[in-house]
Amino acid sequence: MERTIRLRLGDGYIHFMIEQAYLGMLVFDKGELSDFRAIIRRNRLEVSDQTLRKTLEVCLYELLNQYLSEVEYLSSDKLQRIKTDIVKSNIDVLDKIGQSILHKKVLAK
Amino acid sequence: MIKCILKRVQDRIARIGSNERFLKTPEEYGEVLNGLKDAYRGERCFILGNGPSLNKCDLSLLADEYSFAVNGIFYKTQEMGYKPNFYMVEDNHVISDNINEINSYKCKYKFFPASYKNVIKPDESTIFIPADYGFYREHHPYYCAPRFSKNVSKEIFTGQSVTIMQLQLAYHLGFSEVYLIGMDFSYDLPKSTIVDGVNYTSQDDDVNHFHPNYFGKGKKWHDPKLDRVLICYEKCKNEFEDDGRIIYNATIGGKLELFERADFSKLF
Repeated sequence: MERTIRLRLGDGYIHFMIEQAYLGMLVFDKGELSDFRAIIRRNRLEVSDQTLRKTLEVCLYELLNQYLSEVEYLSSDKLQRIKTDIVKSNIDVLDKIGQSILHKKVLAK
Repeated sequence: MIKCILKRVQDRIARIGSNERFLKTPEEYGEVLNGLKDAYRGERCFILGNGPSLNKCDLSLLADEYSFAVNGIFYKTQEMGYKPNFYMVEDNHVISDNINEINSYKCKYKFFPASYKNVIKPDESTIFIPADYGFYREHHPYYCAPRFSKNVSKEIFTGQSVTIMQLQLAYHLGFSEVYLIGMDFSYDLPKSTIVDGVNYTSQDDDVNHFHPNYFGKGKKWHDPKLDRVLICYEKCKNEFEDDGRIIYNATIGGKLELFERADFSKLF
């Protein structure tokens, strides 16, 4: 069953959700990624016009990893496979939000 | 399924001889916490704050009671032998400044947020809990918004004070009457304190806790933000009362007036 990723853009940050469940957020200026329990998982991620799309993908992998392992208790091969499937089936969602961010010049200083 | 069980057994064998052998997966901790759900249904308990008024309470009276304590309560254990049934630490400064005391502290259950798995040496009494820090994180949907978990095997919410987590834990365990003691609910900021944003470093003896070394010279602590603690207390009070349970404040003195007062000396 395909699972839908939803992204919500705020002023300087973006929230990630899977269906109705909260996955975490990326704060652009610090490049700070926090997971569904608001625990910081990555810092100083490069978030620029050039790297944005790739960074969003990296974030989604990281957030899914935390959520699927700690909430759905998936591990090893199954975790890897499901995580990859979810990201691949939601590539267009990432593309769309990436374009939207660039269009709104959210990252411009 | 068999493959999964085999992997668990292999992991356990690899950890024999080290503290790692006590480390469980999030799923296993969930099972342990589920097993404790309502284990103390209908009982009363005491939750200890670490304010100066704690020195006015005869803690030997708690010997046959269920009690929760936090952070530097080990000073009381050293001083007069008191030990809680349930011990918890949430604050990263408390962890880093007292890691040896915390790791060697012995009591029936020790609870820590799962994010401290890398620094806490687990023993047979250690349970890592799935703590949610959204209350502290700017831009988070629940930034400064109190939440209360009725099932801490799934999640437990932070709320500016470790007491907020203790109250959720007490609820999960089934306690119906909770008595707070040592919750003075007032802080003085000594002039000598070094202030760096919300991070404070003491330069003198601690005047805000029951022991001068609690946040004594060189120790770090956070701005207590009592206004935020209060809105979280209100949330806890409502959740307890909605289920026919009650929280009393049996602190001797102090400034916390949200909860109905109880006289500590008349409870035994």
